[in-house]
Amino acid sequence: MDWVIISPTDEEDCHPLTVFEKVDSAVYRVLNIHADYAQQYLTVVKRFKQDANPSTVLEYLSKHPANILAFGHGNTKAMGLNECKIWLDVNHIPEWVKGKNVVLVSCLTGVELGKKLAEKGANYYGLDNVGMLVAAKDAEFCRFFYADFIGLLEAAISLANGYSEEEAAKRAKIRWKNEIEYWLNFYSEEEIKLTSKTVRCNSQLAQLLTTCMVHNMHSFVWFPPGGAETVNWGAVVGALALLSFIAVAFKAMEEKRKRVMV
Amino acid sequence: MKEFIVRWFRSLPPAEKDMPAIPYNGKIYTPRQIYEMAISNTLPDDLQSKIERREFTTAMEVYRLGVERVLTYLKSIPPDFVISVGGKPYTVEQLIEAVEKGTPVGRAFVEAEIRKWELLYRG
Repeated sequence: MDWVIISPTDEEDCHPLTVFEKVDSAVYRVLNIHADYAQQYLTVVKRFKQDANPSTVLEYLSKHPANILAFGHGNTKAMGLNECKIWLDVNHIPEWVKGKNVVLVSCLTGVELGKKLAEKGANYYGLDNVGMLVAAKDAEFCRFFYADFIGLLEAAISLANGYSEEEAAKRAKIRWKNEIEYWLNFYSEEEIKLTSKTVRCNSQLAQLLTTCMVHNMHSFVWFPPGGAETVNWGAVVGALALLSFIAVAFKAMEEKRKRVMV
Repeated sequence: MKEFIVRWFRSLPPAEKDMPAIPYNGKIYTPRQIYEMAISNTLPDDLQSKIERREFTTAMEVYRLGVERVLTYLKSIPPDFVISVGGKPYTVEQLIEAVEKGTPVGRAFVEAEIRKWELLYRG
């Protein structure tokens, strides 16, 4: 299963009229650490970083469609990359997303964009709220700096390991829960690596990190291909059975009442 | 009676034991304070029964609890770290101000804290 990772670095300034603001370098640094972690477990055919511009990315994917793990600014209808430019939006969903897994580590895309991607045949995982993240300007690769969105990374890794779409969604939540539990219990065993020094994790940093993780976990959404609205057929069948039972009971009561009146 | 609180205290993760957690009579207690009261036989019966039933508090108290919990740990975060909410980074001081003023970002952070508290204490 081939993946393309898109993890912008945003070294360009943005025009004031662009939809998205320039992302702070500390934030992109930590998002790239998330991408580095995921890359260890995925077959990555291409990773866009400084060159993560909409035109470059879209041109590549139109020629080499692949599963996508993308990081960047998002809103309900669109997602941006470097130069604060939009690469995916609800009105322009490329055909090549059909049959692909699309994991967007990005604010709010689960509200509308994710549903549209699913309607076009993609298997989408993302967030329906803003994302929260603990960052540092000189963050280095360590467990602390890839924990915030660990569930979304787990969704991609689970798919790569052959789990079904639904199992990947379940494993995403379980991974977040396990990671939250880990940091609240074993924070003192972890070192947080910064370029200039290493900081031993304390209970306050563990609390801050886990609050961000809880928020992200609650914002997690999955839309399978074919449409955003997943029908819970068990509930539908149950409701129909209950309605027919009520109808039968009502009819029986009516007949009994008529017999009494006669 | 005391055994229940001892078991409850021991079951909590280490990072949680000194966090504000249980509102009671206008004060917010940490699990360790509750544990120490239980050990010294000064824990009020109704507080113990609240903990056993996991019925701690009203919505108003919960929000105040969320604010107090967030401020407790934010004040000790080293300046090396920033918190990004929706891609926008906040220094610790800016986030504390947002929480104290009740801005949308501050409220979002407090609500996330309340969800975590509910996971830990209400299961």
